[in-house]
Amino acid sequence: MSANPEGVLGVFSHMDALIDGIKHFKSKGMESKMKVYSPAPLHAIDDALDEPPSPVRLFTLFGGMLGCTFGYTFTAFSSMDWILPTSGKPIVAPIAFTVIAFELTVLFGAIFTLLGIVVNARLFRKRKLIYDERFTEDKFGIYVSCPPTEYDAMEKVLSECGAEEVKRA
Amino acid sequence: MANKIDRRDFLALMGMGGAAATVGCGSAPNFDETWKPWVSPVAGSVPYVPNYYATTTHGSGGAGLWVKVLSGRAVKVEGNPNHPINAGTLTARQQAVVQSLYGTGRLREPTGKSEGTMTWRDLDAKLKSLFETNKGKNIYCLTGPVSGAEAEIWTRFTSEMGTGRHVTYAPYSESDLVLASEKVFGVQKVPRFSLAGAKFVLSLGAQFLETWGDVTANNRDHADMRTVDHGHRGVHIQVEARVSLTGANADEVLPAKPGSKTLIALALLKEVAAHSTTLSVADKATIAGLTANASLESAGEASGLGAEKLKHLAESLLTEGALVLPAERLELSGDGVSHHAAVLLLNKVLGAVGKHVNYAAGKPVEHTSDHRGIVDLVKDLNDGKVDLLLIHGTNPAYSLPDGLGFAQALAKTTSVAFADSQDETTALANYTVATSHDLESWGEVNTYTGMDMLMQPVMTPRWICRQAHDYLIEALRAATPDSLPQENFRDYLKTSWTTRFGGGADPEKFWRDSLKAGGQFALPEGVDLPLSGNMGADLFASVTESKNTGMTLVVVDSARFGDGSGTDAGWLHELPDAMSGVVWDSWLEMSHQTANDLGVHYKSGLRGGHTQMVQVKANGQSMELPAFIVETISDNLVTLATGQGHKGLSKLYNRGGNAFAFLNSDLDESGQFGIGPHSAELVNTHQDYRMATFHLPGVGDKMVTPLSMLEGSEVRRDLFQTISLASVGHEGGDHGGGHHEVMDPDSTFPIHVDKDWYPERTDDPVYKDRDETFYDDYKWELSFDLNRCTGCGSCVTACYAENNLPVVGKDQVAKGREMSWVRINRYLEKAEHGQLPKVRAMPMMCQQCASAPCESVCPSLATYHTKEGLNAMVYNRCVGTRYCANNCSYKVRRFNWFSFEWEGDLNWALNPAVSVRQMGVMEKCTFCVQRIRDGKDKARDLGRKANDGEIHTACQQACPAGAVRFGNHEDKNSKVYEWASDARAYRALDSHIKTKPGVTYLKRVVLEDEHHG
Amino acid sequence: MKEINFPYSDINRDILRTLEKPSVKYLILMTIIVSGLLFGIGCWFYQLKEGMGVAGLNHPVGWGVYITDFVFWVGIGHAGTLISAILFLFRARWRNAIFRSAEAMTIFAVMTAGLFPLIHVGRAWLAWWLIPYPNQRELWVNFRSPLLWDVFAVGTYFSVSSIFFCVGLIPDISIIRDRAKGLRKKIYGLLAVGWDSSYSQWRHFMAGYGFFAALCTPLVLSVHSVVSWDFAVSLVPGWHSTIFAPYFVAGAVFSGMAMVMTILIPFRKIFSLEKYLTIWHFDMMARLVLTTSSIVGFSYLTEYFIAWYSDDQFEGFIFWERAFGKYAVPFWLMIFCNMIAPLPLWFKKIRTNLTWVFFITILINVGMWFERFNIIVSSLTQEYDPYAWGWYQPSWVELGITFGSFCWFFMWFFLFIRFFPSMAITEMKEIADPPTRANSAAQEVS
Repeated sequence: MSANPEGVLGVFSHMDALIDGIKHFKSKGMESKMKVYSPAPLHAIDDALDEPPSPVRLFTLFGGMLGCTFGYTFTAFSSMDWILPTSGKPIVAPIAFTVIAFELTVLFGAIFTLLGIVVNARLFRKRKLIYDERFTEDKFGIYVSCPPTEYDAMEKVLSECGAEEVKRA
Repeated sequence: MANKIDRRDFLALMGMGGAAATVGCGSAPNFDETWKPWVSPVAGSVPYVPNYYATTTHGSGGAGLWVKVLSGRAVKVEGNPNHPINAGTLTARQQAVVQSLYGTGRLREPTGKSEGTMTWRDLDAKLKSLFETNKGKNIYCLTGPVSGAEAEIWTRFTSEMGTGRHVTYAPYSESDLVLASEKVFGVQKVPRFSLAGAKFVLSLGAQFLETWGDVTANNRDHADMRTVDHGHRGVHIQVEARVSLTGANADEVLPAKPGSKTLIALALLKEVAAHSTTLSVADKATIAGLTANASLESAGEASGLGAEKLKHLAESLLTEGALVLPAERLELSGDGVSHHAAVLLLNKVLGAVGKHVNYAAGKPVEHTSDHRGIVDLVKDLNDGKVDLLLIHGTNPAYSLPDGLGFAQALAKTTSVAFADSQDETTALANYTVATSHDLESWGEVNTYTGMDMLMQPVMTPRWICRQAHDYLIEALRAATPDSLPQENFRDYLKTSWTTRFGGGADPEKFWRDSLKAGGQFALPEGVDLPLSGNMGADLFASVTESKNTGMTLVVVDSARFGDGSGTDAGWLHELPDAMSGVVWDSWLEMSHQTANDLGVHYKSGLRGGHTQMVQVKANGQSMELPAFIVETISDNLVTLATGQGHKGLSKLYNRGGNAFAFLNSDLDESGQFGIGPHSAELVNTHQDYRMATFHLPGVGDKMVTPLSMLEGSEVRRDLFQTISLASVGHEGGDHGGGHHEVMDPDSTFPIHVDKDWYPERTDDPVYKDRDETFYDDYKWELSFDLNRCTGCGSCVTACYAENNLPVVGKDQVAKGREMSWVRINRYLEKAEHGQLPKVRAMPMMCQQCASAPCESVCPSLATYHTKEGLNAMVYNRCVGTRYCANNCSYKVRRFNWFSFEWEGDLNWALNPAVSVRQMGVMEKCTFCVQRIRDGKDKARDLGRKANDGEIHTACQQACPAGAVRFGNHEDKNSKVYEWASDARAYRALDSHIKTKPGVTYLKRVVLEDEHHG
Repeated sequence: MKEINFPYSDINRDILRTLEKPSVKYLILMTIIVSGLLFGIGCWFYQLKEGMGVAGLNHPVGWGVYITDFVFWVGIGHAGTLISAILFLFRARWRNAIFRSAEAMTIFAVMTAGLFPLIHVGRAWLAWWLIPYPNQRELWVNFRSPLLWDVFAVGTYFSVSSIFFCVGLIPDISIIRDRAKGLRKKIYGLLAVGWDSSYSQWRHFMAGYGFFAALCTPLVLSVHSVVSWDFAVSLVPGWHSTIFAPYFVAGAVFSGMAMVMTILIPFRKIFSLEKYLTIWHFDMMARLVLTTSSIVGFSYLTEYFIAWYSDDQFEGFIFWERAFGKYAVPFWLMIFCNMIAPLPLWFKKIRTNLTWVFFITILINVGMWFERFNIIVSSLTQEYDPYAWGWYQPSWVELGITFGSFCWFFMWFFLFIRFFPSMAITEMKEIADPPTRANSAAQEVS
């Protein structure tokens, strides 16, 4: 356990209690030090935290634009690479190529969104912080990183907010 | 071009030296099948550069052939352009000769009934002993009709070896025509009937476009007769109760009752002679006397046509350039002589003798054969007078009437059959000697006076064998040493030929020139002949109305199989019958009414459909055949085509029923087995039978498609179009020229004048700064004149031969897997009740559309539009989605459902210039692109563009009617451009779907005052 | 109203039950399915060896049962994406219970559909030529061909919905991880890709999920439109029609919803999930079926009207023949199953009676299969040139492969419900009441 970064984890079984906790730490200006756990994404918690919109949307936008451009250019250039006319239709047929371009827009968009999630949510990483498996069932939690010297104080604060138990790193 | 051909033939000739030596020499040539490098190449033979050898075959009736030989193998048979009769074209049947050359039926080694398979040494010994023991005894020879050197050697053999006779036999005999000519004009000849220059042709049933006379020449002349000249064109009227392909191309079909043809001829003769202005008084009197009993009324009564019709007919006969053709020999029983006499007299009256009935060029009687010989032979056999019988080039066991008992008689002697392929007769003979095929043998075929064709081997024999005549010569030389200077038949033929036709100063050169030319052809002009006194007053006394009432069976001559001598050819079996569209079978053709009476129900399955077996009893014979319902036949009449019903061919080709079984076994006055309309008894066995066709019978061949269950409302399709003679040349302006405008302003089809969405190819910006432009040198186009096309199907077979099309067999055809690149669409016009419908034939193959529906849908770019206007098909790139075939509006793309196999050696006839397609690949017509390539290369070597007429597609080359033109549409002087810009030109379906096809059709000119698609 | 409202822990327990030791019934069913699949594969190898000729296809009719199956399966897929993406955007809460299995169905259906282009081409071993890859010959593919559009549309559809599906699974897998022991824990641990359900993950997760939904919505519409253009772009009378895209999409959703219900009704019974898959869900789905059914029916009528109104003889002819010609039986079967049979769903009594609904959805599946069969086959048999007309009957090989394709589909589905939560646990929690002091007090009282 000593390898883990130092901090305290409060386990809540009621959402409203959790929210009280969040409010308290925010009022103390400790957002950056705080990490909230919840079995499901809940609006109430969203509101309590109210964080800026996720940057994932930029990934999606970029991916979509890239796919669209690639779709048109690739089809056009490969058609002109070796001209094989069919049915008297234009060699570079924008209307026909729009279908390809559209599909590629969606494909690239999706792939980059995935990338966005992985990067921002820091997936595929080993968990260092202390953790409670009940978070994926019905418990909520607040983790506050602080030096061992403040453990007692933090534990007190958390229990006041309604944490049923508090773990130490 | 011409001098190229000469070079080829010269080389060919050089090549011959070698080949001839091997073929001629005493022992059989050792043909080694293993591949080996050409360390010492055969003179004049370059790999993949074809040599063309001029020759002929007995089967083709002495047609002039050019055999394409590649690397020592005959791969394709084409027409000899210098031959006056077939003039470079061929019928389907004549082209199929290569299939019998490589067919599975070929005999490979000698066999004996008791010995089984024999070695050549044993056989030679056996023959030697047979000839020695029977020397001086009755050695008979039975051959097909032979002439010239071949006849000489056979007769010489029989006379020198013993006291036997040389008998010739062929299923079809022209003896009645000979006898008639002898009576009427005192000439013992078969006249040459020619339609050249005729204005009005009345055929009393002769299928002169399929089987009767010189079919190729007739097609050509018939087409010429139909072409409109200053608003006029010739007229053709056919008298027959079952519409043949010939009838289908007539302007009117008169369904006369079977057996009434002679009465009609006589009535017409009487009428015409009475009103003739050119006939001499004496002749008028004679004819009046002869035709005393005839009358339009009785004839009209007997034939069911009515006197009025006949009277009208007689009037139209009395025009310039009229010609009357007799009935088919098979529908004349007994009255053959009087019928032909009447027809000859008619022509005499019409002044056609000399012009169209040519006796100067007539067939000498010795070139023909009657059936007396075979009857006597059978008698002698039964009397045990025959000690040894040699059979060659004929198959009596198949075509002789059972009543004659040939098989039983044959068992009473020792018989040796010389044959290249197995058949019914070889099965009976004591010894069977495998001989070389006509294309591997020397020989001579003489038809008309002045038409003497040479037969030369075009390749070393496929199997170790010699030709029959070599055995004869060997035997003669053995019997009486130095009686014959020549060692083999080649030398004999050469001597005989040069002596008979006067070698002149340099016989060697003359011989070579004759070989090069394929013989010598000089048809003399005809001359009018006076009536002879041989006509007794009772000439026509025997003519009476046929007693047949109720159901009648008529045997019709088959254009595909004829007398059954070439039946072992898959191409012919898979070529749909011209009128019914049936493949791989023989069947009883009957009308809906007849079928209903019999309770025959036709269930349209896939292609073809299910019908029932019907037992037909006639002339003491009984046979079970599938019934096939067609609209082009009168009620109470069933027909059966000849040539099928073999028992002795290789398994695949023994199919259907043998029509010759219905022959009378007694001879008529002219000495041939009469076969004619028999009153028949039909019994429905209710036994299900599956037929195969290329189309949906009764549905797909409707010119006007009715909506199912909805009377009255119907769909007429922009495919086959006709134009009335009246309006030819009167429709303002040139409508055929460009691609874009609607061809026919008066068309009843929806005319789409909307914008063409696609720019001219060359306007496409991507072509900027590229040398890629379209149609700059060539735009290949093909054009069909539907006014010339008869729908004979010769082009279909030519395509099979040129493009390596597989024969898929009956079951696959029934499933709709036929592989023919060009098909003959046969449509039936809507007929008033009780009338026979008009038949329209239209060749349909890839139209090489400029806006081809098939191209843009191919995901892998396996098909695209070439710069020369072809719709290219890249087999190697094809993945086989079949989308192109679905989207093809003309349904001319063919998919390889399996990797089709060529049975026997038939793959030896494959064209190396065309790849054989793998399973899963789409294929189709590309205007014989390999020939285009070849022609362009030759032109490039000469530093110029290919000229018009240098490149022929296979279908164009074969078409006897000259209905196909192919060439460069960019060349405004080309023949194809002339047709494409003709006022009659239209492009199929283009007015509707704007595919801009590269194929133009010229509307058929009809006499009716109709004007629709 | 809240239909589903249980403590979070119950949700976990009930849904994860499907992952417990498989019953004998399950194993028997699996054996049958796999052997069916093997038979199908055998048929395909037979066809590869002999050639396409073993199918009933012939010269006018180049496409038959295979393409019918292709369109059918692609159609099935659409319901899943509709429920998971479109209804997500519409915030239709009832989707949460069913979307996971529907989405799984989408993927397996598309996997099945993707096989048929391979099976139906003449040279399957060269099918990869349809993929544009750089090569020395500078030979590319024909992007003007609808079949190429297909390759891209179906390919994209499969990839994107797989991503969508897998990302959605991550939180639920982490649930399993935290319950599982031993090896299972390790495996699911890997699959959970380090999900700790902390809000710093939920935040991006939810954003991304929203974008996936936004991308899938136009995608799903495009896919069946593109499939319909395989036909609409061609010249074949009966195919060449501008109505096809909307008509096919509606048909796809129609058949897809029917399939979802056909699967969920027995599924609900077997795993006794009545608590979560309530009548209310089926009522909602039935309404959607009803709507799409009327759209499809309307399209049929429109087609006929245009066939008559356009005065195009070929078009008119083929439509007449469809109804009264050789293929009248499948046609009227289609009309009955797709237009008449769903009508009872207008009554709530029927909608809420699962036996009835099950029966009707089966009919709809049959009807939609025959709709595709009608469009494809009857049009091809009678085109412009009567002399080239033909007639098509499926061969046993085609039917065998079709049967095999169903087995293939169900095999994947059964494997899925065995190893993954077939309902989205976290999203069930979303719509359930979060535990608060108030309602836990309430629970103690009761």
